[in-house]
Amino acid sequence: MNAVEAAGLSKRFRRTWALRDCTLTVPAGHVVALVGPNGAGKTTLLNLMVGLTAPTTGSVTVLGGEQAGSAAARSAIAFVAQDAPLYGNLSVADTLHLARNLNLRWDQRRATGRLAELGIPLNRKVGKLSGGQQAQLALTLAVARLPELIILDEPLARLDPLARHDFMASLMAAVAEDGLSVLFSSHVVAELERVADYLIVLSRGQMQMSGTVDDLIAGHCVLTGPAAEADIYSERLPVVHIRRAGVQAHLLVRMNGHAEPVPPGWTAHPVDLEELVLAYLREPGASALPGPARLPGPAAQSDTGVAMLS
Amino acid sequence: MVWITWRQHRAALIGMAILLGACALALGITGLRMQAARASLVRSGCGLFSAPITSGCGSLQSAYFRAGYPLTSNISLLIIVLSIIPGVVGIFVGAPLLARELEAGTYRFAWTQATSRTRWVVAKLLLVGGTLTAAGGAFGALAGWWLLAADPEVFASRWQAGQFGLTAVTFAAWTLLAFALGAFAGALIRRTVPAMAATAASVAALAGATAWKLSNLLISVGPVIHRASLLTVTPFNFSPDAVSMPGGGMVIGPASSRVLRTWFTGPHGQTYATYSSSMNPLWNLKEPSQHAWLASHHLTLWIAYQPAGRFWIFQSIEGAAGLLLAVLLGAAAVFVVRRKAG
Repeated sequence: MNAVEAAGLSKRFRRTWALRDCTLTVPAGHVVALVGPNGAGKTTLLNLMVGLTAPTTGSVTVLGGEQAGSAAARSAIAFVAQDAPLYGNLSVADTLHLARNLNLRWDQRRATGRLAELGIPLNRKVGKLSGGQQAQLALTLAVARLPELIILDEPLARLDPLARHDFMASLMAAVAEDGLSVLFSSHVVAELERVADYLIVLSRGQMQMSGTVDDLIAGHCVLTGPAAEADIYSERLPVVHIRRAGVQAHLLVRMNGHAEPVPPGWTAHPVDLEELVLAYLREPGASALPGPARLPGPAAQSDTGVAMLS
Repeated sequence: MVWITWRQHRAALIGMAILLGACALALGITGLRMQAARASLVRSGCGLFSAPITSGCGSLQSAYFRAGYPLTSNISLLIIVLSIIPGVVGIFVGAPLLARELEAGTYRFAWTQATSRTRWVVAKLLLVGGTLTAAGGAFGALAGWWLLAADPEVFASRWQAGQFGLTAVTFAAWTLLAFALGAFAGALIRRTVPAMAATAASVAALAGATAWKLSNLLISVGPVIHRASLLTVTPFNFSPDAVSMPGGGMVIGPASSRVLRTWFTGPHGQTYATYSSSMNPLWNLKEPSQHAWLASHHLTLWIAYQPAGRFWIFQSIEGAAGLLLAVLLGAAAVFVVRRKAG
């Protein structure tokens, strides 16, 4: 089952396109990081997935074909919006009561248990909690809904490094416990590989890269060699990004399913995730999306699709 | 949804309860005191203003006027202040109802739960609006009762624009209408303070138009037409529901009715406006000779009036119009919330 499927999804606000022709498939059971610089369209994409925004063109479905924002989708997806907006004048206990009343599935014991573990007092007003505690409360509300998919918009943005660590640990614990899918957006690229196993890179409203972290890392390598020869290879190979450091150049190369022969005088290294993401973000024109897949049935019997890949 | 709505709007509703309660307390106490003072006036056979001067009527009369002080010292101002209350409800409860959610971003939490946003907004509108309407009805009934207690003989005219709005029916309708207007403005504008300002402006415009024209237009529909006779009027049976004549006289309809206009007809069916120059000789005469003059010229005086029994019909019409408008605005607010995207 796919957690999210989008086809030709675009969103325009007045005259600016926040998202353009976005086609993506996210299989269920992953922790997906949606990465991109500020203004890349991450929030728009997530709002489309939870039905807070209607697409200008295209469509988005969740959890194996449910219309985004439909009753079935809403009851199975928990959304934590950016800055975790909650009612500041309600107490934590009242906020739990509110969420319980708004949902059919609700695990009150789990919610209170988590809050007790985190040391968040039930009688405190939400507005009086720290930013980290508010984020944790929002995550608690999401987890207590027993969702199949949790979508979080910039959950880490407001948190200090310690709170970030604690928050991600809680999220991972919930994933381990329930086997749910998680999709979170972030403009923080560091430490992604510790939590996410699936990556979507969005830049200037367009999809740049999407796939499991393992595939993406296996599909790229860094070639290091003399800077003077860099331009020769950058034309011959699918180079995503060139970084020059004095006499040496580092080429981030995409390998189209087969290992490139390493040129003499050059060495190949595996790429790490942060380096990979940053390279793509620096080159908004580059993209590494899943190519056209072979269709089942007689129409796809010829192998012409392979030619399109190169 | 009942608990949620109550919990979220508790503060605003309690604030309104305090405002209405304080006004109701002042009206209730002075109203009861005036009623008691008036009862003792009646027992002693004293009028409100006039004779018999003997036998201590004066002290009873002044006791009556003290009973309503200070609210009775400027009843027209009091009527204006009370008529503003529905607008206050619209500004402080209606406008923030949805605008605050949209402004603070909490709608992103509320609208992504299993309960649909339509149910969420409809529950808010029905429960808060219903509560306010009930409170408005009770308060309007109290205000109408107070006006009669304060002013049983002289200025008591339920038909006047201000008083017409201070009954259970119209006050409830205006409260709901102002609330719905505020909620709609909030959904549309999405920011609390501008929505409050827009609500204030639109309620003021609507209420102003009603007091100035619409109310009078409404009660001028289909009057009863009847022969009448001229009366000489003392200052004490002046009634705003009667029509005054050029010579200082006045035409009064049946009790508690509203006289809309008067005119004369001649022997051949020709009509003369009360103020037309051909009637001038009449107004220069004293009352007994006026009747003789009219008879000798074969002139008949006519009045068009709304009988007392129609008062509640017109009240219901204005109430129903307010309710209909409020329902339309509420539906529009729901539509805006459903359509809102991003």
